[in-house]
Amino acid sequence: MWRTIDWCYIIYGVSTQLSTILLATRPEMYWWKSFMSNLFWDLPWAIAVTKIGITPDTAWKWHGIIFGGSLVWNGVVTIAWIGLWGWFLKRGKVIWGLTGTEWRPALF
Amino acid sequence: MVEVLNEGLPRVSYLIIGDKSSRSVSSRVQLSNTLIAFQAILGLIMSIVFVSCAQQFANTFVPEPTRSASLTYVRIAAFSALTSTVEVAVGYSTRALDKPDVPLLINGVKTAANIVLDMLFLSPFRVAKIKPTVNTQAAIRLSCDALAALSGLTYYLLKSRRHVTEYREGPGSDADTGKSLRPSLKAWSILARPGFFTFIESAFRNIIYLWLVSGVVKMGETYATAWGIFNTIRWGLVMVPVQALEASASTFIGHYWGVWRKRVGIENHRAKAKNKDLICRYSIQELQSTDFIFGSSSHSSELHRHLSSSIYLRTLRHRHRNPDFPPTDIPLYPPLCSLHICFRSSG
Repeated sequence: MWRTIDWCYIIYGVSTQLSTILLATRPEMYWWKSFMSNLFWDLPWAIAVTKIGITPDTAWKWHGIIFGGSLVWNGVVTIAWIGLWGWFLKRGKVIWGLTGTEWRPALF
Repeated sequence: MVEVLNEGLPRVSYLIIGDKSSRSVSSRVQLSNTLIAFQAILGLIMSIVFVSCAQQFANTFVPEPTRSASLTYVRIAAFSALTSTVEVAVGYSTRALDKPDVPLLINGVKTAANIVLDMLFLSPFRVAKIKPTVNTQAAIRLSCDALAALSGLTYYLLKSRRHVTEYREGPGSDADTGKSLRPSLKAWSILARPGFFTFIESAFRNIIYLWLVSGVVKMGETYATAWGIFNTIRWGLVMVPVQALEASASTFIGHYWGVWRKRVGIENHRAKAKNKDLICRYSIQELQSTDFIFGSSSHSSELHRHLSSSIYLRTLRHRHRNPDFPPTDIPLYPPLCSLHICFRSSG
């Protein structure tokens, strides 16, 4: 049960739950969060996976690093963005008019 | 790719349709109708594209030895694009409308139909005198999905109509009568603004993920199969409960965000939140009393229906003893509390 990357799924559960705050309130921040988490982990590995020459012997090791690491990194990014979200709200930073009936271009 | 469609517009329903403080029931139903109609059209287009491009899909995602056999399978499965967009759009919008029994019905019908059809066509004691292939399975799957989507849609239409009628008969809804419930471009544009972000989020994530997966598949059939099995197990064990919780948490957060936005003023784009707004330090009774802010009591009963009856009764008793409750300054964006409510209501 706890082999390879199973423990990473706990982080996945927590970060999914936390990111609902961003999704249901400020989708633009949700997008930035997801963008960061993909750009700095999954994208480099998608490129690297063609270069490193994975063999059946090393497959599970790489699997753990690529897919498990992705979940861990996503958790870190999510926590950072939730912090940022709270900070923005406390400082009264611009909220996009996404919930209104009219389009309002915003600064952020 | 269908996942991108399903995660694009429907995910904003928590934010937009879930906002029951600043939007009337009929406008929320209209937004839902628009969402479902738009997604169904997109799903239909996708299905047609999939059928015509089945060969290329098989080349990319299926290892060499099994490729030719899976072409028909891919063609049959293509139509699941349409059924799944309808199903997902109905599911998301009804959750945001506080009608989670609609997605429950969808999944119930799907599972029941699957059991019955599997018994009739696939099981060792099957009635049909055919030799089941992987394509039989695909056809069964498709009919289950179609049946589920259709029944969900019908149930939603009946239910939303009744909901609107009830609301219009209630007090304080004079301005609401006569508003159209038909899908409209204006409603679509309200959904599309935040939907743009959820769409590009999903598109970017899925493109990179597919790139990664196609790299994995190129390593050969054995590894692709092992990897597929591993993922299926994790999907069942972890992601299903996580996503169920995610859906209910998002619904409550959407409601509370709407309440908070109304309290600070919808046009106030530089509203400052207090610590109390961000981190909830209020009792469950206080949270329950949000119907003062929601306006009419018919609205709040929806919220209450989600919660266990004991909490509901306790709230009623509390309000009976404290008629002046709640204080005007209720925090109304408590994400942690909404999680708490999810746990309570499920437990």
